[in-house]
Amino acid sequence: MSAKANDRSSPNRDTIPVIQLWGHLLVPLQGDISDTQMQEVVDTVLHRIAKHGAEGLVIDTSGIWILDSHLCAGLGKLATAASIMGVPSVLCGLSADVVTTLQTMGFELNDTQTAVSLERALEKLGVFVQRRPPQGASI
Amino acid sequence: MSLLQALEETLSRHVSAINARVIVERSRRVLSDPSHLTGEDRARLLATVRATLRLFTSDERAATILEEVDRRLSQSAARVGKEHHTFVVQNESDLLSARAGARDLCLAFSSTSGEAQRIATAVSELARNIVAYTPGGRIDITISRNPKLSIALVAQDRGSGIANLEQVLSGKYHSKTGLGRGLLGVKRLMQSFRVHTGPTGTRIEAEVTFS
Repeated sequence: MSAKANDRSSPNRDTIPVIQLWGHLLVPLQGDISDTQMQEVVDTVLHRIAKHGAEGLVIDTSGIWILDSHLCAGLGKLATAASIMGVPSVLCGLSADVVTTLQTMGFELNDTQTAVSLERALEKLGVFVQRRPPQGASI
Repeated sequence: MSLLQALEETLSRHVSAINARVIVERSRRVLSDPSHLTGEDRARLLATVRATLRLFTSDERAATILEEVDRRLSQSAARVGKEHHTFVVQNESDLLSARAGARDLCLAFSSTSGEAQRIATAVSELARNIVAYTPGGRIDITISRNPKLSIALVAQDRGSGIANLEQVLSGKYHSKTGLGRGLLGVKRLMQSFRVHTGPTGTRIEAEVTFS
């Protein structure tokens, strides 16, 4: 077990991607987010907004398994910073376990807009899907 | 009965023997050690079973079978008795291994994912205080099942103590980084909570028993 725990904790881990999606920025958080990774992603997002602008920011937390007070504060700060720069943001995909733990600890995300899923988050930011049959499909 | 035998037995009740065999063989390959199921192994195993089941049955039925497999894994992998682990905490990467280790330990004792997450969060808060405010310390986790699951956490550090403990625990104190709220968070996550603090260090004991 100790060998595995060491692998996981190696401090230099993957950078969190920031994805451009129909003029919006999407940050998918996965697994166990370190403070360093969080700080990096805040810097990247704010620089991207300053340089290229964005219509909205979506932070998808459906892939994370732990959200402690520090990470929670970090997410809140990212959302607030984006909104100060004029970019509305939505936090989505908080799992039932994560929400229960946050509530038990007495943490709130009052100032942050949230949505149950990525699709709902994009809808809140004004992205709507119009479907049509795929090209070449027989009707 | 071994983990894989338990898996095969459960699967055979829903799919043909040969299909069950295929799933077990594919599962064997993703496990690092079939005699000890870690949290990561468990996730990989379930993903493999899900993906393979879809070849043999409808998504809906696959979901039902998977639920049963998940329950069965908990029972067969469940450890009983008592275990003790110490995590030395000095920097951020220690914090990450302490909380991941706490989660794996809970899952090995067949906690629910919510319980494991709760304990890992408490460990994360305790470890963060040590990393942020002290030269270093350790977190001891004692976990037992008899048959209820109990977890005891002891965090000790060599820092200069918490001067405004009462203020922190009353919830009136918030540091800018959200750090001050962590301790109160731990108190709320656990059932019993004691702090001994002084100029040579702090010792925090917290316990919870899940029904």
